[in-house]
Amino acid sequence: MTIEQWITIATRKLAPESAEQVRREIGEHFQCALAAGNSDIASLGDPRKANRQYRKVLLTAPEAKLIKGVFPDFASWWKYAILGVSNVLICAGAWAISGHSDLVWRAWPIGVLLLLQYAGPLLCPKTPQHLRIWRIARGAGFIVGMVFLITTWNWMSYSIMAQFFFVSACQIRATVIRRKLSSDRWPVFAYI
Amino acid sequence: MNLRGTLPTLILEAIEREPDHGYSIAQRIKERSKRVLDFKEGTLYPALHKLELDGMVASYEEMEKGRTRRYYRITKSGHDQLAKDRQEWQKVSRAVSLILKERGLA
Repeated sequence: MTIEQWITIATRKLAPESAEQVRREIGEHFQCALAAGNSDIASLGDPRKANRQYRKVLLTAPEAKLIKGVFPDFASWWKYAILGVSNVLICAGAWAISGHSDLVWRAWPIGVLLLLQYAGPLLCPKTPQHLRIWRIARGAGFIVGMVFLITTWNWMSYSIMAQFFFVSACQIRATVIRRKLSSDRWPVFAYI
Repeated sequence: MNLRGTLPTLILEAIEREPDHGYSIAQRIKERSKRVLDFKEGTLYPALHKLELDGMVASYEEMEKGRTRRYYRITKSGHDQLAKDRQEWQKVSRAVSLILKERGLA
């Protein structure tokens, strides 16, 4: 195996900038080894194992795509928030028209709870303590929102439920990204 | 010999006195353990990145012989962590020695 082949395997599924970083540091390492008279690639170990470890600490290609493609800035994140609230308003309207006026009042707290899920980038809780408080508030909002939606038991409520789960999925991904980047490099949606 | 999970501690120990670059850190660990701890060098950098993310290590680039090299230095929380790890290791080591002595293996 050549050093190029080792690096290709070790950088599989990493973001381009992460792969470049690995290429630079392993290249530099190998140059030092050569200068010391050691050209044995085996001393670097299994590139697949190194790749697994790199993927835990450096941005992967899907994560980089998520940052750059879906929520590159504040505005794109809020487009999703507006879409979510519009969804709640449409549901409320549909309930009112279809004679389920008893469900319409639930749209208000559900809308507020959904907005709470999206409010992270606005608050940008930087200190660990603020982040903890924010997570507890957001988690409680999620649970109460779900209870409201499940007890509403109407087909329209599933579209709002999907919206809650969409934010939750983003939150899980954001947690992983937060661990891999220093706080000054956090993209705006990493605060959710 | 590969002691799983001890690499971060060994890295902190290697750069405790002065900053160093990746290759030299790997060689230092091997030489100081008289080649008993022979880890694979490809796993050194993910461990260094993890330490950097955790704030135990900081890195900077420096020119050396016309080449840019990344140096790693230990931070204040790295020093604190190393002190904790040393205590923990001594405790574990004493406990294992006691068990082995009990069985007449040490």
